[in-house]
Amino acid sequence: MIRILRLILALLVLLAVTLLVQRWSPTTGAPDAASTARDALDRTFTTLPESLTGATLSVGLLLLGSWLFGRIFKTLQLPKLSGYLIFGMIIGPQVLGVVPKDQIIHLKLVESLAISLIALTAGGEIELSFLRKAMRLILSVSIIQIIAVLVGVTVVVYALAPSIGLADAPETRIIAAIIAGTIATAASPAVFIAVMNELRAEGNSIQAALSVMISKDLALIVLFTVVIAVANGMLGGQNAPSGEGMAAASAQVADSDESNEAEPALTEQTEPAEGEATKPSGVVGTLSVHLLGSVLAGAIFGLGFAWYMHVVRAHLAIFVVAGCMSIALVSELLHLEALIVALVAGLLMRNVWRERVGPFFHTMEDLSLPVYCVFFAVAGAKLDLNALASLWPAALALVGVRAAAIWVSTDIACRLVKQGPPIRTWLWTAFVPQAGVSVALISIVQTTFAGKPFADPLYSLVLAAIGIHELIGPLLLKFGLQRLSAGEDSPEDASDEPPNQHVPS
Amino acid sequence: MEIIFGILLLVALAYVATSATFLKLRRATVVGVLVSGGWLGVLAGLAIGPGGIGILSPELVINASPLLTVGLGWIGLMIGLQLRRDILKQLPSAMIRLSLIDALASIAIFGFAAALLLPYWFQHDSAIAMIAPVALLAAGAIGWTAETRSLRLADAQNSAETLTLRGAASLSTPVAVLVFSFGLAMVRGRDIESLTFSATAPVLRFVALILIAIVLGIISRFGLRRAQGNRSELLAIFLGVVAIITGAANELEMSPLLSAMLAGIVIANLAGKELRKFERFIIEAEHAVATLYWIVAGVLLDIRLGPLALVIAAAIILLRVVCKPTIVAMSRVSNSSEFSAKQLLHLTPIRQSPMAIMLGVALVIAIPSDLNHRLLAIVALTGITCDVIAVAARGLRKRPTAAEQPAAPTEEPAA
Repeated sequence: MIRILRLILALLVLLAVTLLVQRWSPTTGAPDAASTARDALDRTFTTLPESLTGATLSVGLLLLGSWLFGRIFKTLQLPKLSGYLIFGMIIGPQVLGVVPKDQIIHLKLVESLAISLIALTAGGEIELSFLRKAMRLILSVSIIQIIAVLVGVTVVVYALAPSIGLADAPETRIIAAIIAGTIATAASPAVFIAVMNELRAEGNSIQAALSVMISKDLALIVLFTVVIAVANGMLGGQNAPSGEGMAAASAQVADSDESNEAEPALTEQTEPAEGEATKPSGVVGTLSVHLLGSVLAGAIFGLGFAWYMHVVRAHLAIFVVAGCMSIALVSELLHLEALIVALVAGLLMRNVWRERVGPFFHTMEDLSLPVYCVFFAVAGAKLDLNALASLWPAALALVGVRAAAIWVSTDIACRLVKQGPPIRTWLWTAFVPQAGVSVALISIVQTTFAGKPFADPLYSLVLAAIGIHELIGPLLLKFGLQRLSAGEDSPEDASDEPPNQHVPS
Repeated sequence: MEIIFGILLLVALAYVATSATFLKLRRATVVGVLVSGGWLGVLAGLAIGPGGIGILSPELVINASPLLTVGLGWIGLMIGLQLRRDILKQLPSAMIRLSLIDALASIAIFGFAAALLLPYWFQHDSAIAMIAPVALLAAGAIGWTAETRSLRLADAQNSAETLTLRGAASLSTPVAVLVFSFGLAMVRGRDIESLTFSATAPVLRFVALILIAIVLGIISRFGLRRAQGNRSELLAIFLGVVAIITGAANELEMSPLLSAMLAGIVIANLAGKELRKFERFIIEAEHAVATLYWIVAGVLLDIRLGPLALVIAAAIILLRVVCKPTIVAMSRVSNSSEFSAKQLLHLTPIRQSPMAIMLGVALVIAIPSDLNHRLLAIVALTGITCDVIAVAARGLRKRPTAAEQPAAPTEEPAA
């Protein structure tokens, strides 16, 4: 108890210092826009906006504050990640407002870094030998889960439509419901990796969860693009996303939470070439090229990183940061999916040059905590509490049906491939959390169908559901991962079911 | 495509920098001095910046200023961590005297020269607009590099003179940060027409920063105990502390280098073994952070210096070559007649402190004006030229033959 009180005291002092500094600042109240000024050489230059100079203090508060809050949560046996999210929510623009919204936009660099770091870590966790042996399990869980969640959430959103302001024509309602169902199939690799790192969990069940998550993400990219293209054709949206545009936009905001940021990428990338992009076949073609391009870029990055580890092997911290930034920049430039690029790079390094790249992954581990602290605190700060407050009953129903669909489908899939506990019992918990990928997708929907009556209610509903997922997802995940790890450590305690027939131990 | 070229270029540079051939090349004095002075990093930055293939624009770098400010804070903290009471008490008086004399003389000589020459370059007749540039050029001239090994004066490496020079160089760094930060804080406003001067505001803000540094020092000590040596947690605490203190400096319009230095002093003087671990952890990254900032400096500097800016750079170089060895001689650091020691005392002070580049970067990040981009270029130009002059002078001054060596003192015959 005293330990918690000390942590709370430290946190309060930190908040007090920040608030006092913000109050004393001579720039407080100055217009937050870059303006031009002249220097002594009589040349004009652009001054920094106030929000940019203030962003450093916000980064510090988000980092140190969420670290302290995470310690409090750890002491209470709760996931630290939930602490980061809740701290971000408290100091964010919608509660205390210590970190204003305009400063959060300037933290995009941290988000890009985090996405690459998370995907590289995910790739580095998966062994190809495992993939080969557990392919049936991975595919069956992925396919059955996608179908169950898509159908379940579509039905519930269709049923709830009148209560959330979606009282359009039946065909519009069904399309909106299918879009919500598609987005509900997304999971959160970021949350999974962060909780996995916190628990230092490893083993076959972790690899299985990650593999399913990745295969679901790949399927989601295709599914979402097709659904939006079809919906756009039927309803006449404003900006139909091509495969390339969707992925570029989602890569830009993947696992971030800023809805507005998706817009420039989308409008820039999604000029349909004379109806080409709106045709599902055209979209799938573009998408295939784009996905293959991402895999190829990932392979090149993996090769480059491994070569560096083989030949240079110096300044690893800087190299890891620069490498992650390079993945983000190149992906944005070539309209590739940063998640896939980093994932393939990590996978290749782990499986081809295992001995050489060990220090690379250790350095990533060292760097991960500060990145996660800021990344998840920012996600918490962006949480739409207004949507949550107004739509929580409907959102709760959506979350409940989605969780039930994930649970039942995972159980059925495991039974089909004769997979016993603990995977059959607890694997589903890995897919419940949702975060930035879903936010990126619903932002694209809102932009694509701007002006349509269903766009805003659907956006608010999905955001409210994501809010609930962000809050309860990590708790459930920690509980599930602990059971999964414990089950792997002592298979004799598992149950009467035959243990892992398809997952090698 | 440029970005891919840039990445390939950086990887190629990393490869070249660590290759066996390059390590052999580093044995050559010129290459050794260029590497230790960080000039290869600056050149790499120039290559990928707007002056080269242009994959990184100064605007892009400036937009990353929240993170760059944290990096500057890292450097400031490293400086502050060296200022421990127990270490300061043990410093020889000659070292402190040399550092003080050099700081005062440098501020007077280089500050005066800058104040004299800058009006010819400037298009506006504004005394207030000169304060920050004068502060940069004067603070950048304080001290010299603490790196003496690359001059290849092996005989003098472990001598008392080397230790004094290195120690005085380290002591000069906080003075330079202080001078620069106060100079910067005295001026408010960005546009030449709306600049105002205040001598009291920086003092009040300085006191506020000290208080914040003390609070953060106590919080970091508390956090470090809980981290229990875990590197990832140490990094989170360290970056958090640095970001808050530098962010506070930004908000109070002070230099992040100064605020982080103050936090470093507080942390260093709060005893505890956790702090030693923390210190080691930070110092491990010293070289990597410095390299990053040399690259950033290369991207930010504007090489389009006109003739007047070149005259200013030449004047600083000339003053450095003439005055610095004189300052050292006047401080009577050594009476040694040994050739290597004498050469070291003459050549090392000519070389500019790497801190000057960091101060220039800090100025550009705070106020990204064309003037400041060019001032950074002047600082870089003086630095690299002084390094080359030091190496050239070493080559010119041939070691005396045995016959030319002064005769060893013989014992007086007993009366």
